[in-house]
Amino acid sequence: MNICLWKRVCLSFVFIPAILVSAWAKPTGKWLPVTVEELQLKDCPGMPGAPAVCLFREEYFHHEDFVTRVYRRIKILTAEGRQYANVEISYLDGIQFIDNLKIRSITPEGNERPFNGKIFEKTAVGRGRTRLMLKTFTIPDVNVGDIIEYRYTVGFNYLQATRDRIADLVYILSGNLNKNVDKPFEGGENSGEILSAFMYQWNIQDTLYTLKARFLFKPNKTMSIFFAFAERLNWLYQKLYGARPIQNSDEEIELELDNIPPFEKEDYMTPEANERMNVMFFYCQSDVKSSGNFWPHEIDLWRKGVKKFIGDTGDLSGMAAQLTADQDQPLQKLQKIYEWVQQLKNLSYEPGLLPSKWKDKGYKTNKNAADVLKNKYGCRSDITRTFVALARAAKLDAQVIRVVTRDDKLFRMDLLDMYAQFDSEVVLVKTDDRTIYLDPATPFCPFGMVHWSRSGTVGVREVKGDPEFIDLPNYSFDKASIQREISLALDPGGELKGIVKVTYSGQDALEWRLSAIGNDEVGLRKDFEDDLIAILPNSAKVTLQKIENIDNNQPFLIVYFDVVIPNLAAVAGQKILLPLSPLEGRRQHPFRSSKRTYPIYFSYAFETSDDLTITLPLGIKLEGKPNPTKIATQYFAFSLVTSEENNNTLHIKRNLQMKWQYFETNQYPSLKNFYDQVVAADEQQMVLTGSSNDFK
Amino acid sequence: MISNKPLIFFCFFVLSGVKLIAADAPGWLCNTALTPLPSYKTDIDMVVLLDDRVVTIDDRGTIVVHCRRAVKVLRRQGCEKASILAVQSGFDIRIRNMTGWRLAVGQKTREVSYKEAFETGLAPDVLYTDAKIKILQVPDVDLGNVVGFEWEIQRTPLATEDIFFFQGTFPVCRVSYTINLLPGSEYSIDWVNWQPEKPQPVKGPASYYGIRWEWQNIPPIEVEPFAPDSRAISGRLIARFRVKGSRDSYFPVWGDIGVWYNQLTSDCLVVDESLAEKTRHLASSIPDTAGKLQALADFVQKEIRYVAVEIGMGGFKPHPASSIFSNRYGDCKDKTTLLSAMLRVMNVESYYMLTNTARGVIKSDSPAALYSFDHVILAIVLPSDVPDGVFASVVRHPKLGRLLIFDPTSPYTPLGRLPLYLQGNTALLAIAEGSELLNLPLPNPENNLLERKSLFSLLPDGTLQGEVIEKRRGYLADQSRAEMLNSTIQGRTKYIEMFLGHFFVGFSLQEQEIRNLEENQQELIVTYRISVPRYAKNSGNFVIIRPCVLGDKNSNIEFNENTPRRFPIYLESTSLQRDDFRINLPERWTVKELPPAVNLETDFASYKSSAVIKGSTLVYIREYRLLDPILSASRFEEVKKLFCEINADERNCALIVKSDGI
Repeated sequence: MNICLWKRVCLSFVFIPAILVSAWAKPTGKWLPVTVEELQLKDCPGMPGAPAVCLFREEYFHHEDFVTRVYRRIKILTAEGRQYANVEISYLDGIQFIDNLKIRSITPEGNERPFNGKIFEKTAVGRGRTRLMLKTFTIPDVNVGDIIEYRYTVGFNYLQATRDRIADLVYILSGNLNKNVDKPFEGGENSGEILSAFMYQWNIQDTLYTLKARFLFKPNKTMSIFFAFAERLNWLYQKLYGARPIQNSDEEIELELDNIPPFEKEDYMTPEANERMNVMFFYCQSDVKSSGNFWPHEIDLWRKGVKKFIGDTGDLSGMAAQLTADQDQPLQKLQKIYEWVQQLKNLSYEPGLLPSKWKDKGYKTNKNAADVLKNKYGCRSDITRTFVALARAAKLDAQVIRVVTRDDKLFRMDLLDMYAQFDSEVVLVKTDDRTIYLDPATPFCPFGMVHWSRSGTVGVREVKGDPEFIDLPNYSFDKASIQREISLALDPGGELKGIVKVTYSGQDALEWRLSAIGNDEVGLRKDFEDDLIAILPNSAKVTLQKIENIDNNQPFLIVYFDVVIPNLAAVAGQKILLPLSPLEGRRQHPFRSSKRTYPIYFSYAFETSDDLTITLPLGIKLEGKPNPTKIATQYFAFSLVTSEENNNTLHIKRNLQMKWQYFETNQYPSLKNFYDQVVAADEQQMVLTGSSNDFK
Repeated sequence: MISNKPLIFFCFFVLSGVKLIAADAPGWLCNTALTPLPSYKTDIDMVVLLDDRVVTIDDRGTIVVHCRRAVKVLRRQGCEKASILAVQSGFDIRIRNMTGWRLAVGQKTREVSYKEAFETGLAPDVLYTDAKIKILQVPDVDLGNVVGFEWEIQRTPLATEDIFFFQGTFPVCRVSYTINLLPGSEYSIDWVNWQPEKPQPVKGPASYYGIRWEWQNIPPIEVEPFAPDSRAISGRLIARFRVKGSRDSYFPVWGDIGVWYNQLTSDCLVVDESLAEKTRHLASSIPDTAGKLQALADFVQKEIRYVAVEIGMGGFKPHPASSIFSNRYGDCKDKTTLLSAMLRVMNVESYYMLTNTARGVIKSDSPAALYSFDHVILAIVLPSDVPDGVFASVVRHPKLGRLLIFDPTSPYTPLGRLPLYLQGNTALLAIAEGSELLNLPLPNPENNLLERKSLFSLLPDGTLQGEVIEKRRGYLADQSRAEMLNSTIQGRTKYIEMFLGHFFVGFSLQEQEIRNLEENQQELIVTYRISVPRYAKNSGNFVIIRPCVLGDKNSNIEFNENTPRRFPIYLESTSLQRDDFRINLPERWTVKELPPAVNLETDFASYKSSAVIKGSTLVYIREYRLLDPILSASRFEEVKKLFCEINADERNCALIVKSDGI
C-alpha cells in the first residue's frame, strides 16, 4: 500500500461513522409543537396523491462528540402511506449505538399516542461480531391522517472502532461479496500530502416529499491535532435552488429548506451525482482557500508521479527504435507503438481479477515504464504512461492527460478531490499539423480515438507550463455509427425472411468489444441477438451467423444474422399492408412521458442507418407507399425514403442522426417530438395488391 | 460517488476479508470433481455434479441433515451462483457447520469455514423474524472450477418431515437421499413431479438402519411462457418419519395438519371486551347479515395494516386477536385470526385455510406436507339468511355447507371475490374433524372484467381524438388499484401514459378521471381523453387506420419454440374482455377495405371481432372470453395459435380513400 492510500485509510477510519449515519435524519431533545395546519393537512401540496409526506426532518451531526441527532415527523395521507409507520434505523454494532429513541403518533384531532410497542434488533448483514444492525419498530394503531414522529441519537464508541473491525465492516458493506468493481482499475494516483479530505454529506432528498428540513453540522475544532491538514472546514453544495448553508453564531453550519421533492431517476439523465441536492463537507489545510491553490498543488504531485514512472526515456530508445523501424511519419510511428502497447496484458480488464489478487496471481507492481516493458503487463495507467514513454523515446511529443470519466459524474471545480474526479488517463499527442488524443489502455480502442467516457470532459496536463485544465473534445455523430443492411423476402404466408448485416464503428464498436471481454461465445451471441430482437417485432426469430472483428480494433465490427419475422403483414380487405420498417419504432422510443425533470444526456452522439430491401412474392405489387420523411435540425436529423425497384423489390433507406448529446430540460418537448415523428414515420405502411388469399 | 470514497479505499485495503486456507479437499469432493459430464447446451452456466442429503432421525424426533453439494462452473456467468451457499436457521433449525472448497486445476484448494459466513436477518415482507440466513461464499471461483459445500443442520421441526427440492434451474448429474432411522421408526416417501426411484438398504450409523435413493441426470427447469411457478413444477421428494413412541408431529395426511393447526390456533381467537364492542359497533347499523360480514371484512382488510413479526412459532401461530386489534397490524394469519374472532362475536363460524400463493404447489392430489404452505386465509360458514349469489367465492362443503372464502390480506379484493393467486388454487380447511384440501373456485369470466368503450373523431389531418372509458372488475381491477393507489397523481398519469405508449406515439393525455379507486366493491372506472396526431397514415392514395385502437390480450408474448412444451399452461384466470371502439371519419372519407371479421372458438377461450361501417363511423367490436386458464402442456399449440391470430387482428387495418382522391 502506498503512503497516499494509507493516509486515506486512516482518514476513512475516523470519518466512516459520520458517513454511515449521514443518510439519517435528526434533531432536538424534545417534541416540537404540532401545528393546526399539520393536523389538518389532507394532501401533499407539492406532490398530490402521495401516500405520506414528511412534515419536518432534522439532522444534527456534532462532529466533536461524534453524535448525530435525528428527528422526523411524517403525516400519513393514504392507507398505503401507513407503511411509513414501519421504521428501521441502522447502526454499526459495537461501534455505534442508538440512544434516546422516542416515538409517538398523533391523531388528526391532536391526541398524542405514546409508543407502547416493541423495538426489535436485527442483523441486516454481518459476520462474526461485525454487524450492520437495524433497530426496528412499527407504530401501532396508525390511521390515515395520523402524524407519526420519532427522534433518536446515534452515538459513536471510539474504543470499539478498531481498524480491523471497521475494515471488516467496510468489506461487508461494500456488498455483493465477490462483486467486481464497476470500472477498470486505473492506478496512477500520487497525492502525497493531504490538502483536503471529504468527511460528511447531507443527503437532502429522501424517499418522501419533505415540507421542511433543517440540517446542522458542528465542526470538530480538534481535528487538526490529529490531522495536520484539517485546519479549516469547507463545504460545497449543489441543486439547492436558492437556499444556502450558513454558519450560525454557534459556529454550526446550518441549512433550512422547504419543499424538497424526492429524488426520482429518469432514463438518459445526467449523472445522478451531479443532480442530487446535497451539501458536502471537507476539512482542508488552512492555506487551501479555494480551488485556486488546491488544484496546482495536487496536479503537481500527480505530475511528479507520472514523471517518476516514465523515467528516463533514453533507456527506452532502443525499444522505440525497434518498434518504429521503417516508419518515417510521426503518426505511423505512434501507431506502431500504440499497437505494441495494446498487446500488453492489461490487468485492469482481466475478468474477475481485482488488484488485491495480483500478487496471488504472480503479478508484480510496475514502478516504472521499464518494469512494464519487462513484465509485459500492467494496469491502465501503467500502459498509458508506457505508451507516452516510448513515444517520447521515439522523439514524439506526447503527454499523459488525467481526465474525469463522465459516465458517472461531471467535473466540479469546487470539489477539492483530485482522484475522485480525475480517475483515468489518456494521451495527448501533438504532431506538426494536428493534435490527437489516444486511449492505449482501453482494449480495442482504435488509434486516434478515446473511449466516450474520456471524451467531452475535463483533463489535466502532465506537462508543466501549460494551463492545468484542458477540455477534451466530443466526437461527432459519425464516430459512433450502426449501419444495418437488411435483405428480406416476403413469402406468401406473410413471413419476412432474410439476412441482416450490422456494421458497428467507432464508439459503438468499442462498447461491444469491451462487453465481449470476459463473455463467452454463447453469451456474446445472445447479447447480439437480444440487441437485434429488441428492435424487431416480438415474433421475430434472430440467429447470429457470424461475428467479424470483435477482438481487435479494426474500423468495423460486423455481425451477420438470419432473421425470420412471421405474420408481419396485416390484412385490410383485399389489400395487404406491410410496415415500412420491420424495426419496431415504438419500442425504440426512449421518451414516452410528457414530463421531464432532469436534462437529457446521451453517452455520445450517434448515427443509425438502415438499408432495407424487401422482395415481394410473385403476383404482389406495391400499390401505395408513404411519402418520404425528412427532419433536419442542428441537433438531430432523420430521413426515410421508400422506392420500388424492378417491380418486385421495395427499397427503404432510413437514417437517424443524434448530433448532440446534452439537452436542457426545456428542450425535452422538441426532442420528444422528434422521436414521435421518427416512430410515426417508421410505423407507416405500404399497401400491396393481391388478395389476402395470397397470404394464407 | 463522493460519499462512498472511504468505503472504496477500504475495499482496496481489505479487499477480500475472507481468510482463505490452502487445504486438501475432502475425498468425496475430489472424486466428484472427476465425474465425466454429459454434453449440455452451451448456455448452461453450471452443473450440479452431486446433491447429496443424509437425514438422521433420533428417538426424540430430532432430525440431523447432512448435505454435500458439488458444482462445476461451465460459463463465467455461473461463477457467482456456484460460489454461494445460503442456509436458513430459525427457532427449529440450528446450523451446525458449513464449509466450502474451491478446486481449480493447477492451483491450491481453497477452503472457507463457517465462521467466514455472512448472516442476515432480513426477510421480504417481514418486519422482524428471528430466523436468519447464513451465506457462505467461496471466493475467486472461475470458469472450470469445481466448488464444493458440506453443511449440517439440526432440526426440531413441528412436523417430522423433510422436503428435498432436487430440481432447479441447473442440470444435476447425481442426487442421493439417505435416511437413517432407529429400529422401530418408520418412514414414508412421496415424489412430486418425478417418477419414484427405488430405494436400497445401506448401512447406517451405529444402531441406525439406512435407506438410500440415488438417481441421475435431472434436467433443469427452463423458462416457458405461461408456465406455473417453478415451485409447482420442480422435482422434489417429501419424506415423513414416524418416530417410535411418538405421534405428535407426524402428519401423513392433510387432515392431520388441519387438525393440528386448528388446535394450535384455538387460543388465539379469544375475544376481549374492546374487540367485541368494536365488532358490535361495526355491525350494529347494518340490517342484513351479508352487510355485517362485509363491514367486518372491510375493517380487517383496510384498518389492519400488514406487518409481519415472526418470533419462534410465530411463523405458524398467529398473535392473539385482542393484540392484533389493539395494535391494528398483523400478518396474514393475524388478519385471518382477527376476522375469525370478530365473526365469533356475531355467532358466525369460520375456519383457517392454509394455502400456497403459488398456484399449483398444492393440488388436490399432492402429498401432505406442513412446509408446503405460505399463506393463511379464512373460510366463513355463510349463515342461512345470506342468499345464494350474494358472494361469488363460495365453496359448498358437504358438512359445513356454504363456505365463503376470503383473503383479508389482499388489500384490494373485497369479500366475495378472490385475489388472482387464489383463483383456482387449492387450500387446506383446518377444522377439528375432517380437515381436507378444497379447490378454490375460479370466478365466472364476467367477474374478471375489462371493458373499453370509446368514441373517437378522426380529424382530416389524421389526428385521432376522443374519450376512452375503461371498466375493470376482479383481479384486473385489483392490479390497477395496486399500481395507482401506491402512486401520486402524477404517477397515475405516468402509469396511463406508459400504457398508451404501447399503442401510440406522440399522443397527449388531455383529461383523466379515476372513479372508485378506493371502493373495492365497485368497478374501477378510468376515463381519459387522448389526442393522437398522425394516427391515420397516408400511403399512396390510401389513408390507413387501425380499428383496434388500443389494448392487447397476451398476444405480444414471445413463444419459445426451440423445445417441446414441458409444463402446463397457466393463463392467469378466467376473464371477459370487451372493446368497443367507434371512430367518426371526416367528411368525404370513404372506407375501401376493412379487416376481416375474426371468430375463434376453443373449449378454453373464444375471441370474436368485427369492423364495420355505420354511416360515417368505423365501428370495431371485439370480445375475448377465457373460460379455462389452466391447460395441459399438450394444448400449447392451440394457445399459441389463438394468441397469434388475436395479435394479427389487433394489427389489421382499414384502408380509406378521400373522395378528392388525395
